[in-house]
Amino acid sequence: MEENLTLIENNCGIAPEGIVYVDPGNDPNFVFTNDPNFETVALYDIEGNIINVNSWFECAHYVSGGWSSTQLTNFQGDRFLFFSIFSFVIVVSLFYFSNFKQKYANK
Amino acid sequence: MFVLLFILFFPFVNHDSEDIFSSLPIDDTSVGYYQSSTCNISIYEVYIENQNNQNIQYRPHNYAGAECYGKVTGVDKVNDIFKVSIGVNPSLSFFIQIILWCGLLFLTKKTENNTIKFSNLSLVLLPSIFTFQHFSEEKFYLSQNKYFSPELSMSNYYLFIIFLTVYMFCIFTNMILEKRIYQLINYIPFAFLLVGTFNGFNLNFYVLLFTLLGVNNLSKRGFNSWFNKSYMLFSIFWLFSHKDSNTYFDTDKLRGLINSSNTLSSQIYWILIAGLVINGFYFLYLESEINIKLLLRNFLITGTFVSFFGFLGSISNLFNFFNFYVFGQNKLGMRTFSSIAGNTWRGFSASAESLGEFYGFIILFYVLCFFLNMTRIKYWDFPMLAVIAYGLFRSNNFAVIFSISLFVILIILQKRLNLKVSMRVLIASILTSTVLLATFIGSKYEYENLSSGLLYEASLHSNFYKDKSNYSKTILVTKFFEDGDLGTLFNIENPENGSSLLRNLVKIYTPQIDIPLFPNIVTIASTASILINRTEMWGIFIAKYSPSLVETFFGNGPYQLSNYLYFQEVRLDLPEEKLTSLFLPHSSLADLFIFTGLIGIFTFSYMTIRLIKKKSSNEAFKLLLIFLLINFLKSDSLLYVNSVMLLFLAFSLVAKDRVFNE
Repeated sequence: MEENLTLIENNCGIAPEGIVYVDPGNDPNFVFTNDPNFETVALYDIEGNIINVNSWFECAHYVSGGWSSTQLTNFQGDRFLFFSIFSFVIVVSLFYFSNFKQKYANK
Repeated sequence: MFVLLFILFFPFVNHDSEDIFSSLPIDDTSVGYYQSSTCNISIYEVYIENQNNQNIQYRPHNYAGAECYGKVTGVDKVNDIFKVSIGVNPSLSFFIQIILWCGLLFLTKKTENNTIKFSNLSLVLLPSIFTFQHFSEEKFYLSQNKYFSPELSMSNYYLFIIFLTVYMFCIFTNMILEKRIYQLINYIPFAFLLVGTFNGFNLNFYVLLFTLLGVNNLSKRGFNSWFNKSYMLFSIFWLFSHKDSNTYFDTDKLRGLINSSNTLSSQIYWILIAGLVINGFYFLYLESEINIKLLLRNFLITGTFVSFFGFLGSISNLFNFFNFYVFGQNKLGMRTFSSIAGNTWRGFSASAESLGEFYGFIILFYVLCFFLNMTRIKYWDFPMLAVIAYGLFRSNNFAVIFSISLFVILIILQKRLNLKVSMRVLIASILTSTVLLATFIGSKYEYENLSSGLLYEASLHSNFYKDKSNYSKTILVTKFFEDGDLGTLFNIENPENGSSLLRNLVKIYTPQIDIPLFPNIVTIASTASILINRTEMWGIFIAKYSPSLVETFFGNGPYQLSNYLYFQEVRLDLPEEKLTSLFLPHSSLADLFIFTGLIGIFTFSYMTIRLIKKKSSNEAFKLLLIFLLINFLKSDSLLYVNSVMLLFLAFSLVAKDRVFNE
């Protein structure tokens, strides 16, 4: 539970005084109460879904369920990868063709 | 070597020790933590924190982005095991694996005096062909890579990455092989250690390599060979008889060398690839020189390393993961060293059988080289041979153990008794001994059971008596077979329900005109299937395969199993849990029949027999080829890249005019 609290505090901030996170379970009637002093936090899941939470308790609940304040899906990995490989291939091609020209120039 | 290791392991070790995400011991309480801190903790951090935890399994997670490479993308508890998913995005791992494996090619022996100028045609052709594969096998790639998109646009970086990476491969290979092609054939054994299947791709490194050699063969020698002309003819039949369907084969353990789709474009792709690979084999055969000592050494090293790393992978979950990634395995290796369903070697080999053939080949090759005075026994050979023999034992391949025992005894007898017998006599005596043994084993069965056992098994798995249960179907089929009334069973009771192959085999089994002393081919196949315990598998193959007339003669096209797997409706007489398994034909001859039809089988058989009959400077190596061909008859090794390469090597050993022993 100690590490869970650390993770929650990393994502949601320090727990307000007097509030302890207890799992509300699967109660369909449970309603999260808004905390006017809590600054809204956006949480993301692995599939890129987004949710805004309005209380520390609500935030803790979602973080425990796998949501995170770090958005990963905005990172365009394919674009980054393309430009990295493209630069590498340019260097390799230059080396190859200059070498090729030298080797077979006299043949 | 250091550079290669750095490229390989850096993404898995790289982490920010100052960040807020630290690794924790994995247990019930920390699962949630790992699930919400995805892509931040490296496998290295997790391993260091959980070294003594035996309940952890690392598994690759392809559908993660490049930013999650080498990092934990989730932890799930299944029973008592914590399954830690590690992000290995296929686009990035394709790039890394190409650099790594090309780097290993760089470590092969080079010959300064012999250089070959490789054609630059491959720099354009190969990237185009392999990028085209991603369109032709769209369903496969959609499930493997989050970046995949078949859309043709400038913002589709995925396709550019594939194109550029294959282009880079061609440049590397052209540079590396120009001085190494002469020795390359001697490194074929390493294909059993470095399996070479790209993570998240239906592509194998050796397929890529041989297509490159194939392009060079075509640019050097032209298209005008008899093979290329006949292949063109086959291709026309394959394309015209093609049935476009929406079926999808998830490739399973065949990943890297199988058509996952059944569309015209995937058919064109695989026709191109198979043609180029065969041209590549021919190129390597002509340009390489076999060096027996080097080849033997490489066989011994590979055999030992496969067992060694297989063992490590079974005792360490971390090694199990890295074996998969570094060696390009089709599936994660076995986590136990005991034989489970005869599949001890899964990972390094798609099937234990094919690895058994490899181990058997090494032992036979060593014995032959020793008796031909091509090698001297060295003291370190013994531990390596012992490891290889243990690997063979673990493969549970009785046919290989039996055949090498027979071959080795005959070779020793010939040498020790100094008998001047020709290779033909030796081969004849091997065949006679096998037939005698088969007769002895077969004598305990009734003739009727032996001759029709295969047809009976196929009928049990066919969709006969659609409105009756499997149990009633079995009783009815058994009754007709016991009465010998196959005509009523197939023509009156179930006229349309059996596969065309089954119906034609029944016609051959019950001929209108009986030719005395001429053995019935169905009887021979049925007897053989019972003796080598293949009745059920071959029965399923006959029940499932329903080729048209053109397919009977020309097949379905290279590495196209979709029609065999999905076209014919069957009702397998098997336990519920086995019904969804992958049922391969369990005979390379049957595989060849599916791909190239009867004409392909006859052409291959004719060429092989002609080669074996032809006088060779390496007569003794014909035993290796025969050993392999016999074992291929009862295994699907033709579907595995490394086994096909081993067969190519066996052909080359016989066909090459000169082999060097220095």
